[in-house]
Amino acid sequence: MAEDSAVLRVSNLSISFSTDEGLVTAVDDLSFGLEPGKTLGIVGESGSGKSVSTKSLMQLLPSNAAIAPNSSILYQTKQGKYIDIAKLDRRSKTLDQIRGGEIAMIFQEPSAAFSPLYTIGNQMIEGIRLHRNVSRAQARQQAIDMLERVGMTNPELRIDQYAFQLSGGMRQRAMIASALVMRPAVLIADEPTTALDVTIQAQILDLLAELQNEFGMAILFISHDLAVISQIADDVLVMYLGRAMETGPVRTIIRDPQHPYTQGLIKAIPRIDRLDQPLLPIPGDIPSPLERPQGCVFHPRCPHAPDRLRCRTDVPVAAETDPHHRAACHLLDEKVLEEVHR
Amino acid sequence: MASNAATNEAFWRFLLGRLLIAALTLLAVSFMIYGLIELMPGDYAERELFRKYSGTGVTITQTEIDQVRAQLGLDRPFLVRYGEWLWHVMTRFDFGPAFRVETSVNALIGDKFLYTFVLVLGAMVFSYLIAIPVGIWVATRKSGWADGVVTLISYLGLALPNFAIALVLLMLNAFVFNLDVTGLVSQEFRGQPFSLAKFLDFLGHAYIPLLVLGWSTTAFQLQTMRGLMKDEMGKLYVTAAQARGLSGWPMLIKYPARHAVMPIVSTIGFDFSPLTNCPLSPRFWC
Repeated sequence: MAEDSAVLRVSNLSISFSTDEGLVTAVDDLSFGLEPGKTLGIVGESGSGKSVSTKSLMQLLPSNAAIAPNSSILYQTKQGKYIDIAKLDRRSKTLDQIRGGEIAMIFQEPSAAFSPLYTIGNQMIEGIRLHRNVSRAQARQQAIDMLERVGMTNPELRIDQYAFQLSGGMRQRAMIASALVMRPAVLIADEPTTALDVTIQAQILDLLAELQNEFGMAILFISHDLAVISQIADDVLVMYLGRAMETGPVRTIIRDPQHPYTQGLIKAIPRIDRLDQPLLPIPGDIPSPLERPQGCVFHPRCPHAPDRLRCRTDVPVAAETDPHHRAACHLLDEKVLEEVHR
Repeated sequence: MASNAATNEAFWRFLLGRLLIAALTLLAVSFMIYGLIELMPGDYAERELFRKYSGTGVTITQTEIDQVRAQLGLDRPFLVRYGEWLWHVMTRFDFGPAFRVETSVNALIGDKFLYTFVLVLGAMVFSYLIAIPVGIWVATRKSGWADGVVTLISYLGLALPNFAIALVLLMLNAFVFNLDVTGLVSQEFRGQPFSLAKFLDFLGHAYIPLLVLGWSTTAFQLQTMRGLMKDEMGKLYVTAAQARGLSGWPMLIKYPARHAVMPIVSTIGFDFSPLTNCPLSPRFWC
């Protein structure tokens, strides 16, 4: 593979859940790479498989989930070793070392991600001491330093407080501190700003960008909000029903979206210069995961599908439209054909 | 760590408040029971004389009743008698005479209380020692044979009446294993003062009542623990702890189990009272 610079390379990731109603496909043949120091934004509606695919990167899926055998999650450790996380046993020591030490995660709801029975410090120190051979006092000092670094006021006091004693913004800062204190190479941020109000959201986004500059970790940023993604990400992956619809640099995706789904998402963003116009939602709802559409998964909601038979029968293959910009849509073949004819 | 000190102080204040309320409750209950008995027609003086002379043809006169009443101090006002009883209980731990069997209440309770207490405590420790770890373990299994077996044993414990289990065990021990099943201590220790040897002998006999008393409690707590654990395992703080690299039993014990065990801890008191009041216990008294 040419792009060996990636710290994390996901190839053909498929994840299914066995439920009472049958086998549900949550992620279908997903591939992406994560470069050190860069941010990849994964965007999609709820139920598009964003969270599931990122949880699988640390094998944090519930026990009824299964990663398909041909999937690979190739991770390059800080020591330069390559590990296929998809093939690791759930109980392996390597996995425990990767979790937190190499790949860390921050969550949408920091209030639920901290246990109310233990102080923030207790949970941070626990993480530090799992990955570093330091004394309790040293770990405590490292935790305080990190809390200070993420902009926590009064870190010496806060470290002995419980998550429920902090405000929403402070709680998310504590969460970020507890993830970054182990200096992971990859930070997975699962909708970290969704539960926050807009001003705090902007502060947290700035903080993440600043910390990325300082520590050089790669960030995998999940959001349903394309506007947030456009602020923080270098590259974007648009997901729908567990499949990658479009992927590319953030600028080209926003300015020149190729996939009808991405185009729909961008049209749905409220714009300050078009206040008099109604918002344009994508028609329809995400179908139940038990009724996966045949052909292109987006065809029941796609404005171009009704007059094209193959949208309903054939799964589109991702095609490169620009360098690094790929989209999986049958329309793109037609465009190419048109250009050839011209 | 100023906040910790504050938390500790709040904890002790809460505990002290609760103990105070418990003492007041006991006081109120004792007063109510004393009062209810007082409301009943007749008193012990009448009963004593009736017992003494029934069937002998002797006619009891009111003077005789009054005499006995004065002797026992029953002629004094209600509050004075209650006050005296309470004072003796509080200062000497003396619950007074048990007229009907002509001894004192303390002698009646005697070391039977100790045996009951050890049995109940033993049954509870035994229940929790099994219920909590097995509950945690079963909750982490995907539904399979382990869950099935544990659930079966649990429901047997809940469904079988205690006396039936006791009788079957009694029969097994008497006729199959030829063991002495007539008391909590062996013949040679009966009536002997308390000693280490007697206590050890007691422990050797105690497993039957422990099993009988503990089985259903264990079953109930185990199923509670299993259910609570399953709930807690799905919580985000568990995922977050795993994402920090914590796994296996240390993770289970520190996070989901610590949360799940709270309702169990707060109902320990409810277990204590049915076990103490268990109608079976007297059969094992020696």
